[in-house]
Amino acid sequence: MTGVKALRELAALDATGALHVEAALGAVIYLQDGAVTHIDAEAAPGIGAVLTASGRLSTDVWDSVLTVGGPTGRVAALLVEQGYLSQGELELCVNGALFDAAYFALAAAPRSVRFVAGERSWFGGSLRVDVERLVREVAHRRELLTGAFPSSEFDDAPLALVPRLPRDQIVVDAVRWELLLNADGRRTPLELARQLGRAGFATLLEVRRLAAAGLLLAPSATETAPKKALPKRPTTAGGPNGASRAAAPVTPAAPVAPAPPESAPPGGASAPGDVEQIQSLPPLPRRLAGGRPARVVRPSQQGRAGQDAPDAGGGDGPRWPSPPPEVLAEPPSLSSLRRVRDALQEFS
Amino acid sequence: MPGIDESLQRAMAIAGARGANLVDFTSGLVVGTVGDWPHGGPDAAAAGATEVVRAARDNSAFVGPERFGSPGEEIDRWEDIVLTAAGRYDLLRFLHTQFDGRFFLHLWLDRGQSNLAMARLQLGRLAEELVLQ
Repeated sequence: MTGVKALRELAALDATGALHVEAALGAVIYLQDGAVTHIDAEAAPGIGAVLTASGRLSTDVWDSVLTVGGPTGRVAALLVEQGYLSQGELELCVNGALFDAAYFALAAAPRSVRFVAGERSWFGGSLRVDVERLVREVAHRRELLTGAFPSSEFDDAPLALVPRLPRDQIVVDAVRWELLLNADGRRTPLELARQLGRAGFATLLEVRRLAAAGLLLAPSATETAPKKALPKRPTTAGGPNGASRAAAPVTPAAPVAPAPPESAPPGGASAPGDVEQIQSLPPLPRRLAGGRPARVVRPSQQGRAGQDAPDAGGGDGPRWPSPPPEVLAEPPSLSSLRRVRDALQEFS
Repeated sequence: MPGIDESLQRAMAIAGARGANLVDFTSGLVVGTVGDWPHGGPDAAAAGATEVVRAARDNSAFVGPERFGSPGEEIDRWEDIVLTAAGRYDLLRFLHTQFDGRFFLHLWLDRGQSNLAMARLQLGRLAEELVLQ
Protein backbone atom coordinates (compact mmCIF):
# COMPACT_ATOMS: atom_id res chain seq x y z
CA MET A 1 0.00 0.00 0.00
CA THR A 2 1.33 3.44 -0.80
CA GLY A 3 1.50 6.23 1.71
CA VAL A 4 -1.05 8.26 -0.21
CA LYS A 5 -3.60 5.45 -0.28
CA ALA A 6 -3.20 4.78 3.43
CA LEU A 7 -3.46 8.46 4.19
CA ARG A 8 -6.67 8.82 2.20
CA GLU A 9 -8.23 5.88 4.01
CA LEU A 10 -7.27 7.32 7.37
CA ALA A 11 -8.67 10.72 6.38
CA ALA A 12 -11.97 9.09 5.40
CA LEU A 13 -12.10 7.47 8.85
CA ASP A 14 -11.28 10.76 10.64
CA ALA A 15 -8.45 8.82 12.24
CA THR A 16 -6.18 10.07 15.01
CA GLY A 17 -2.74 8.53 15.30
CA ALA A 18 0.54 8.09 13.48
CA LEU A 19 1.15 6.53 10.07
CA HIS A 20 4.63 5.00 9.98
CA VAL A 21 5.99 4.86 6.45
CA GLU A 22 8.84 2.35 6.33
CA ALA A 23 11.23 3.04 3.48
CA ALA A 24 14.93 3.54 2.83
CA LEU A 25 14.34 6.94 4.35
CA GLY A 26 11.20 6.59 6.41
CA ALA A 27 8.63 8.99 7.74
CA VAL A 28 5.93 9.32 10.36
CA ILE A 29 2.76 11.21 9.50
CA TYR A 30 0.66 12.31 12.46
CA LEU A 31 -3.07 12.75 12.07
CA GLN A 32 -5.80 14.18 14.20
CA ASP A 33 -9.42 13.66 13.22
CA GLY A 34 -8.32 12.81 9.69
CA ALA A 35 -6.17 15.92 9.19
CA VAL A 36 -2.37 15.94 9.14
CA THR A 37 -0.82 17.75 12.08
CA HIS A 38 2.88 16.98 11.77
CA ILE A 39 5.31 14.93 9.69
CA ASP A 40 8.77 13.65 10.54
CA ALA A 41 10.58 12.62 7.38
CA GLU A 42 14.07 11.27 7.64
CA ALA A 43 15.05 12.76 4.28
CA ALA A 44 14.03 16.31 5.15
CA PRO A 45 15.53 18.61 7.76
CA GLY A 46 13.07 18.85 10.61
CA ILE A 47 11.93 21.94 12.43
CA GLY A 48 14.86 21.64 14.82
CA ALA A 49 17.44 21.51 12.03
CA VAL A 50 15.85 24.46 10.25
CA LEU A 51 15.81 26.58 13.41
CA THR A 52 19.26 25.67 14.72
CA ALA A 53 21.27 25.50 11.49
CA SER A 54 20.10 29.01 10.62
CA GLY A 55 21.17 30.26 14.02
CA ARG A 56 17.62 31.27 14.93
CA LEU A 57 17.80 29.04 18.01
CA SER A 58 20.84 27.61 19.71
CA THR A 59 21.01 23.83 19.93
CA ASP A 60 20.98 24.16 23.71
CA VAL A 61 17.65 25.97 23.61
CA TRP A 62 16.20 23.51 21.12
CA ASP A 63 17.40 20.52 23.15
CA SER A 64 15.95 21.87 26.37
CA VAL A 65 12.60 22.68 24.77
CA LEU A 66 12.57 19.18 23.29
CA THR A 67 13.39 17.61 26.64
CA VAL A 68 10.69 19.50 28.49
CA GLY A 69 8.00 19.63 25.81
CA GLY A 70 8.63 16.45 23.82
CA PRO A 71 7.12 13.88 26.17
CA THR A 72 3.90 15.87 26.47
CA GLY A 73 3.71 17.01 22.85
CA ARG A 74 4.08 20.67 23.79
CA VAL A 75 7.21 21.69 21.89
CA ALA A 76 5.33 24.14 19.66
CA ALA A 77 3.55 25.75 22.59
CA LEU A 78 6.75 26.07 24.63
CA LEU A 79 8.67 27.72 21.77
CA VAL A 80 6.16 30.57 21.79
CA GLU A 81 5.33 30.66 25.51
CA GLN A 82 8.99 30.88 26.46
CA GLY A 83 9.52 33.64 23.92
CA TYR A 84 11.94 31.73 21.70
CA LEU A 85 9.83 32.31 18.59
CA SER A 86 7.03 34.68 17.71
CA GLN A 87 3.69 33.16 16.83
CA GLY A 88 4.21 34.23 13.21
CA GLU A 89 7.65 32.66 12.99
CA LEU A 90 6.39 29.43 14.47
CA GLU A 91 3.52 29.18 12.01
CA LEU A 92 5.72 29.96 9.02
CA CYS A 93 8.39 27.51 10.07
CA VAL A 94 5.92 24.75 10.82
CA ASN A 95 4.10 25.27 7.55
CA GLY A 96 7.28 25.15 5.53
CA ALA A 97 8.54 22.07 7.36
CA LEU A 98 5.29 20.12 7.11
CA PHE A 99 4.92 20.43 3.35
CA ASP A 100 8.63 19.81 2.90
CA ALA A 101 8.45 16.60 4.93
CA ALA A 102 5.25 15.60 3.13
CA TYR A 103 7.03 15.58 -0.19
CA PHE A 104 9.52 12.97 1.01
CA ALA A 105 7.04 11.02 3.11
CA LEU A 106 4.73 10.50 0.14
CA ALA A 107 7.25 10.41 -2.72
CA ALA A 108 9.01 7.25 -1.66
CA ALA A 109 7.73 3.77 -2.50
CA PRO A 110 7.45 2.36 1.02
CA ARG A 111 8.32 -1.17 2.05
CA SER A 112 5.33 -1.06 4.34
CA VAL A 113 3.01 1.34 6.11
CA ARG A 114 1.73 0.88 9.63
CA PHE A 115 -0.80 2.91 11.57
CA VAL A 116 -0.60 3.36 15.32
CA ALA A 117 -3.96 4.65 16.52
CA GLY A 118 -3.87 7.37 19.12
CA GLU A 119 -0.15 8.11 18.83
CA ARG A 120 0.45 11.85 19.04
CA SER A 121 3.36 13.90 17.78
CA TRP A 122 6.10 15.14 20.06
CA PHE A 123 5.76 18.56 18.46
CA GLY A 124 2.15 19.49 19.11
CA GLY A 125 1.03 22.72 17.50
CA SER A 126 -2.26 23.72 16.00
CA LEU A 127 -1.63 23.24 12.29
CA ARG A 128 -4.20 21.03 10.52
CA VAL A 129 -3.72 20.19 6.86
CA ASP A 130 -6.33 18.47 4.75
CA VAL A 131 -5.02 15.23 3.26
CA GLU A 132 -6.19 16.00 -0.27
CA ARG A 133 -4.50 19.38 -0.14
CA LEU A 134 -1.30 17.70 0.96
CA VAL A 135 -1.49 15.11 -1.82
CA ARG A 136 -2.17 17.80 -4.41
CA GLU A 137 0.76 19.86 -3.23
CA VAL A 138 3.13 16.88 -3.35
CA ALA A 139 2.04 16.14 -6.93
CA HIS A 140 2.52 19.80 -7.81
CA ARG A 141 6.02 19.77 -6.35
CA ARG A 142 6.90 16.69 -8.36
CA GLU A 143 5.80 18.55 -11.50
CA LEU A 144 7.96 21.51 -10.54
CA LEU A 145 11.01 19.27 -10.28
CA THR A 146 10.29 17.65 -13.63
CA GLY A 147 9.69 21.05 -15.17
CA ALA A 148 13.02 22.36 -13.91
CA PHE A 149 14.99 19.34 -15.13
CA PRO A 150 13.32 16.10 -16.23
CA SER A 151 15.87 13.62 -14.85
CA SER A 152 16.24 12.69 -11.19
CA GLU A 153 19.81 11.46 -11.70
CA PHE A 154 21.30 14.27 -9.59
CA ASP A 155 18.83 14.06 -6.71
CA ASP A 156 20.53 11.27 -4.79
CA ALA A 157 24.09 11.54 -6.05
CA PRO A 158 26.93 13.38 -4.35
CA LEU A 159 26.84 16.95 -5.55
CA ALA A 160 29.80 17.89 -7.72
CA LEU A 161 30.32 20.89 -9.96
CA VAL A 162 31.82 21.24 -13.39
CA PRO A 163 35.11 23.15 -13.18
CA ARG A 164 34.11 25.78 -15.74
CA LEU A 165 30.92 27.80 -15.96
CA PRO A 166 29.29 26.72 -19.23
CA ARG A 167 27.69 30.10 -19.72
CA ASP A 168 28.57 33.75 -19.30
CA GLN A 169 26.95 34.33 -15.94
CA ILE A 170 24.52 32.93 -13.42
CA VAL A 171 22.44 34.50 -10.64
CA VAL A 172 23.24 33.21 -7.17
CA ASP A 173 20.81 33.46 -4.27
CA ALA A 174 21.32 32.21 -0.73
CA VAL A 175 20.41 28.56 -1.28
CA ARG A 176 22.38 28.32 -4.51
CA TRP A 177 25.37 29.96 -2.85
CA GLU A 178 25.40 27.40 -0.07
CA LEU A 179 25.06 24.51 -2.50
CA LEU A 180 27.84 25.76 -4.75
CA LEU A 181 30.06 26.33 -1.75
CA ASN A 182 29.45 22.91 -0.26
CA ALA A 183 29.34 20.73 -3.35
CA ASP A 184 32.27 18.51 -2.42
CA GLY A 185 31.53 15.43 -4.50
CA ARG A 186 30.76 13.47 -1.34
CA ARG A 187 27.53 14.76 0.14
CA THR A 188 24.18 14.37 -1.59
CA PRO A 189 21.76 17.29 -1.95
CA LEU A 190 19.59 16.04 0.90
CA GLU A 191 22.55 15.52 3.20
CA LEU A 192 23.53 19.10 2.48
CA ALA A 193 19.96 20.29 3.06
CA ARG A 194 19.85 18.67 6.48
CA GLN A 195 23.19 20.09 7.50
CA LEU A 196 22.45 23.56 6.15
CA GLY A 197 18.93 23.65 7.55
CA ARG A 198 17.52 24.31 4.10
CA ALA A 199 14.21 22.79 3.06
CA GLY A 200 14.76 19.48 1.29
CA PHE A 201 12.44 20.16 -1.61
CA ALA A 202 13.79 23.67 -2.19
CA THR A 203 17.26 22.16 -2.24
CA LEU A 204 16.28 19.48 -4.76
CA LEU A 205 14.62 22.10 -6.94
CA GLU A 206 17.76 24.20 -6.85
CA VAL A 207 19.86 21.16 -7.74
CA ARG A 208 17.62 20.46 -10.73
CA ARG A 209 18.02 24.04 -11.85
CA LEU A 210 21.79 23.78 -11.48
CA ALA A 211 21.62 20.62 -13.55
CA ALA A 212 19.53 22.35 -16.20
CA ALA A 213 22.13 25.11 -16.34
CA GLY A 214 24.81 22.50 -16.95
CA LEU A 215 26.69 23.20 -13.74
CA LEU A 216 26.71 19.68 -12.30
CA LEU A 217 29.06 16.82 -13.00
CA ALA A 218 27.20 13.71 -14.11
CA PRO A 219 26.75 11.33 -11.16
CA SER A 220 28.39 8.51 -13.14
CA ALA A 221 31.58 10.57 -13.18
CA THR A 222 31.60 11.06 -9.42
CA GLU A 223 30.43 7.61 -8.37
CA THR A 224 33.42 5.87 -9.89
CA ALA A 225 35.81 8.04 -7.91
CA PRO A 226 36.94 6.41 -4.68
CA LYS A 227 35.07 7.77 -1.69
CA LYS A 228 38.11 8.86 0.24
CA ALA A 229 39.77 10.79 -2.56
CA LEU A 230 38.25 14.22 -2.64
CA PRO A 231 37.45 15.33 -6.17
CA LYS A 232 39.38 18.39 -7.13
CA ARG A 233 37.47 21.50 -6.25
CA PRO A 234 36.86 23.96 -9.03
CA THR A 235 39.66 26.49 -8.86
CA THR A 236 37.07 29.24 -9.24
CA ALA A 237 35.63 28.45 -5.83
CA GLY A 238 37.78 30.96 -4.04
CA GLY A 239 41.10 29.26 -3.40
CA PRO A 240 42.08 26.99 -0.54
CA ASN A 241 41.28 29.53 2.14
CA GLY A 242 37.83 30.22 0.87
CA ALA A 243 37.14 26.54 0.48
CA SER A 244 38.16 25.56 3.97
CA ARG A 245 36.33 28.42 5.57
CA ALA A 246 33.27 27.64 3.55
CA ALA A 247 33.24 24.03 4.54
CA ALA A 248 33.41 24.78 8.24
CA PRO A 249 29.76 25.59 9.00
CA VAL A 250 28.43 22.28 7.73
CA THR A 251 31.23 19.96 8.64
CA PRO A 252 29.65 17.54 11.05
CA ALA A 253 30.54 18.74 14.51
CA ALA A 254 32.50 16.57 16.83
CA PRO A 255 30.23 13.78 17.95
CA VAL A 256 28.77 14.36 21.40
CA ALA A 257 28.80 10.69 22.23
CA PRO A 258 31.61 8.16 21.84
CA ALA A 259 31.49 7.20 18.18
CA PRO A 260 32.11 3.88 16.55
CA PRO A 261 35.14 3.95 14.23
CA GLU A 262 33.05 4.51 11.12
CA SER A 263 31.41 7.76 12.01
CA ALA A 264 31.43 9.35 8.58
CA PRO A 265 28.06 10.53 7.35
CA PRO A 266 26.38 7.72 5.44
CA GLY A 267 27.23 8.23 1.81
CA GLY A 268 24.60 8.12 -0.91
CA ALA A 269 21.93 7.11 1.54
CA SER A 270 19.10 9.12 0.12
CA ALA A 271 17.48 7.06 -2.58
CA PRO A 272 13.74 6.86 -1.98
CA GLY A 273 12.51 3.81 -3.78
CA ASP A 274 15.91 2.75 -5.01
CA VAL A 275 15.87 -1.00 -4.66
CA GLU A 276 19.59 -1.53 -5.11
CA GLN A 277 20.28 1.01 -2.42
CA ILE A 278 17.99 -0.74 0.01
CA GLN A 279 19.61 -4.10 -0.58
CA SER A 280 23.15 -2.85 -0.32
CA LEU A 281 22.56 -1.34 3.10
CA PRO A 282 22.15 -2.99 6.46
CA PRO A 283 18.69 -2.85 8.03
CA LEU A 284 17.48 0.67 8.67
CA PRO A 285 17.54 0.92 12.47
CA ARG A 286 21.00 -0.55 12.74
CA ARG A 287 22.36 1.70 10.05
CA LEU A 288 20.94 4.74 11.78
CA ALA A 289 22.33 3.77 15.13
CA GLY A 290 25.80 3.09 13.75
CA GLY A 291 26.00 5.65 11.02
CA ARG A 292 24.76 8.67 12.91
CA PRO A 293 26.11 8.44 16.40
CA ALA A 294 25.24 12.02 17.11
CA ARG A 295 21.50 11.46 16.95
CA VAL A 296 19.26 12.43 19.80
CA VAL A 297 16.41 10.24 20.86
CA ARG A 298 13.26 12.29 21.15
CA PRO A 299 12.03 12.06 24.69
CA SER A 300 8.65 10.95 23.43
CA GLN A 301 10.20 8.01 21.62
CA GLN A 302 12.28 6.55 24.39
CA GLY A 303 9.55 4.60 26.06
CA ARG A 304 8.45 2.95 22.85
CA ALA A 305 11.82 2.11 21.40
CA GLY A 306 11.63 -1.61 21.99
CA GLN A 307 8.00 -2.33 21.45
CA ASP A 308 7.69 -1.38 17.81
CA ALA A 309 11.17 -2.30 16.69
CA PRO A 310 11.18 -5.78 15.20
CA ASP A 311 14.96 -6.07 14.95
CA ALA A 312 16.39 -3.39 17.17
CA GLY A 313 17.19 -5.74 20.03
CA GLY A 314 15.06 -4.09 22.67
CA GLY A 315 15.78 -0.47 22.02
CA ASP A 316 19.50 -0.57 22.49
CA GLY A 317 20.05 2.55 20.45
CA PRO A 318 18.34 5.45 18.81
CA ARG A 319 15.96 4.40 16.10
CA TRP A 320 13.46 5.97 13.74
CA PRO A 321 11.53 8.06 14.44
CA SER A 322 14.12 10.14 16.09
CA PRO A 323 14.81 13.70 15.11
CA PRO A 324 16.74 14.65 12.02
CA PRO A 325 20.44 14.96 12.79
CA GLU A 326 20.29 18.40 14.28
CA VAL A 327 23.42 17.68 16.22
CA LEU A 328 25.41 17.26 13.03
CA ALA A 329 24.80 20.91 12.34
CA GLU A 330 25.98 22.07 15.73
CA PRO A 331 28.94 24.38 15.42
CA PRO A 332 31.85 23.23 17.57
CA SER A 333 31.07 25.27 20.65
CA LEU A 334 32.81 25.23 23.98
CA SER A 335 30.02 23.18 25.49
CA SER A 336 30.14 20.53 22.78
CA LEU A 337 33.89 20.24 23.13
CA ARG A 338 33.46 19.82 26.89
CA ARG A 339 30.98 17.05 26.31
CA VAL A 340 33.40 15.30 23.98
CA ARG A 341 36.17 15.61 26.55
CA ASP A 342 33.93 14.22 29.29
CA ALA A 343 32.82 11.37 27.09
CA LEU A 344 36.41 10.49 26.22
CA GLN A 345 37.49 10.59 29.87
CA GLU A 346 34.66 8.27 30.76
CA PHE A 347 35.96 5.75 28.28
CA SER A 348 39.64 5.95 29.06
CA MET B 1 1.90 38.78 18.74
CA PRO B 2 -0.01 38.15 15.54
CA GLY B 3 -0.12 34.83 13.76
CA ILE B 4 -0.74 34.34 10.05
CA ASP B 5 -4.54 34.54 10.18
CA GLU B 6 -4.57 37.66 12.31
CA SER B 7 -2.03 39.34 10.05
CA LEU B 8 -4.15 38.60 7.00
CA GLN B 9 -7.22 40.01 8.74
CA ARG B 10 -5.28 43.15 9.57
CA ALA B 11 -4.15 43.43 5.95
CA MET B 12 -7.80 43.45 4.95
CA ALA B 13 -8.30 46.49 7.17
CA ILE B 14 -5.98 48.52 4.90
CA ALA B 15 -8.08 50.99 2.88
CA GLY B 16 -9.22 49.49 -0.42
CA ALA B 17 -8.01 45.95 0.36
CA ARG B 18 -9.91 43.24 -1.48
CA GLY B 19 -7.87 40.10 -0.91
CA ALA B 20 -4.78 38.97 1.01
CA ASN B 21 -2.72 35.81 0.53
CA LEU B 22 0.29 34.46 2.34
CA VAL B 23 2.27 32.41 -0.17
CA ASP B 24 5.21 30.02 0.09
CA PHE B 25 6.99 30.70 -3.17
CA THR B 26 9.00 27.51 -2.99
CA SER B 27 6.08 26.07 -4.93
CA GLY B 28 3.37 28.74 -4.94
CA LEU B 29 1.55 27.19 -2.00
CA VAL B 30 -1.16 29.25 -0.28
CA VAL B 31 -0.37 29.26 3.44
CA GLY B 32 -3.28 31.53 4.37
CA THR B 33 -5.91 33.52 2.50
CA VAL B 34 -8.73 35.98 3.09
CA GLY B 35 -11.00 38.10 0.92
CA ASP B 36 -12.01 37.98 -2.66
CA TRP B 37 -9.86 36.39 -5.37
CA PRO B 38 -11.54 36.54 -8.76
CA HIS B 39 -10.26 34.49 -11.70
CA GLY B 40 -9.47 31.13 -10.22
CA GLY B 41 -9.39 31.89 -6.51
CA PRO B 42 -6.42 32.26 -4.15
CA ASP B 43 -4.52 29.26 -5.56
CA ALA B 44 -4.38 30.70 -9.07
CA ALA B 45 -3.40 34.10 -7.72
CA ALA B 46 -0.63 32.55 -5.65
CA ALA B 47 0.67 30.54 -8.60
CA GLY B 48 0.72 33.64 -10.79
CA ALA B 49 2.38 35.83 -8.18
CA THR B 50 4.96 33.13 -7.54
CA GLU B 51 5.95 33.14 -11.21
CA VAL B 52 6.47 36.89 -11.03
CA VAL B 53 8.62 36.53 -7.93
CA ARG B 54 10.70 33.73 -9.40
CA ALA B 55 11.26 35.59 -12.63
CA ALA B 56 12.40 38.67 -10.73
CA ARG B 57 14.64 36.69 -8.40
CA ASP B 58 16.38 34.97 -11.27
CA ASN B 59 17.30 38.26 -12.84
CA SER B 60 20.43 40.12 -11.87
CA ALA B 61 18.90 43.37 -13.12
CA PHE B 62 17.26 43.93 -9.76
CA VAL B 63 20.24 43.81 -7.41
CA GLY B 64 23.12 46.08 -6.64
CA PRO B 65 25.09 48.13 -7.34
CA GLU B 66 27.54 47.10 -4.67
CA ARG B 67 28.76 50.08 -2.74
CA PHE B 68 31.95 49.98 -0.75
CA GLY B 69 31.47 50.34 2.97
CA SER B 70 27.71 49.95 3.05
CA PRO B 71 25.96 46.88 4.38
CA GLY B 72 24.80 45.05 1.28
CA GLU B 73 22.05 43.23 3.10
CA GLU B 74 20.16 46.43 3.74
CA ILE B 75 20.52 47.75 0.21
CA ASP B 76 19.58 44.61 -1.64
CA ARG B 77 16.99 43.26 0.76
CA TRP B 78 13.83 43.15 -1.29
CA GLU B 79 10.79 44.77 0.22
CA ASP B 80 8.05 44.46 -2.34
CA ILE B 81 7.02 44.06 -5.92
CA VAL B 82 4.29 46.48 -6.94
CA LEU B 83 2.00 46.12 -9.93
CA THR B 84 -0.42 48.86 -10.82
CA ALA B 85 -3.34 48.89 -13.24
CA ALA B 86 -6.12 51.36 -13.92
CA GLY B 87 -8.41 49.48 -11.58
CA ARG B 88 -6.17 47.78 -9.03
CA TYR B 89 -2.91 47.61 -7.17
CA ASP B 90 -1.08 44.39 -6.33
CA LEU B 91 1.52 44.42 -3.58
CA LEU B 92 3.85 41.47 -3.03
CA ARG B 93 5.66 41.95 0.27
CA PHE B 94 8.54 39.65 1.17
CA LEU B 95 8.87 38.16 4.64
CA HIS B 96 12.45 37.85 5.81
CA THR B 97 12.77 35.03 8.31
CA GLN B 98 16.08 34.21 9.88
CA PHE B 99 15.45 30.51 9.31
CA ASP B 100 15.00 29.03 5.84
CA GLY B 101 11.70 30.21 4.39
CA ARG B 102 10.38 31.66 1.15
CA PHE B 103 7.23 33.62 1.91
CA PHE B 104 5.50 36.75 0.69
CA LEU B 105 2.26 38.53 1.45
CA HIS B 106 0.12 39.32 -1.56
CA LEU B 107 -2.41 42.12 -1.10
CA TRP B 108 -4.59 43.40 -3.88
CA LEU B 109 -6.53 46.62 -3.61
CA ASP B 110 -9.25 48.52 -5.38
CA ARG B 111 -7.33 51.44 -6.81
CA GLY B 112 -10.22 53.89 -6.48
CA GLN B 113 -10.43 53.36 -2.74
CA SER B 114 -6.79 53.04 -1.79
CA ASN B 115 -3.61 55.01 -1.36
CA LEU B 116 -0.64 53.09 -2.70
CA ALA B 117 1.98 54.74 -0.51
CA MET B 118 -0.06 54.24 2.66
CA ALA B 119 -0.97 50.67 1.77
CA ARG B 120 2.66 49.83 1.10
CA LEU B 121 3.78 51.22 4.45
CA GLN B 122 1.00 49.48 6.34
CA LEU B 123 1.66 46.14 4.66
CA GLY B 124 5.35 46.51 5.35
CA ARG B 125 4.76 47.10 9.04
CA LEU B 126 2.46 44.13 9.16
CA ALA B 127 5.02 41.89 7.47
CA GLU B 128 7.67 42.97 9.95
CA GLU B 129 5.44 42.25 12.91
CA LEU B 130 4.65 38.80 11.60
CA VAL B 131 8.30 37.73 11.72
CA LEU B 132 9.24 39.89 14.72
CA GLN B 133 11.86 38.18 16.85
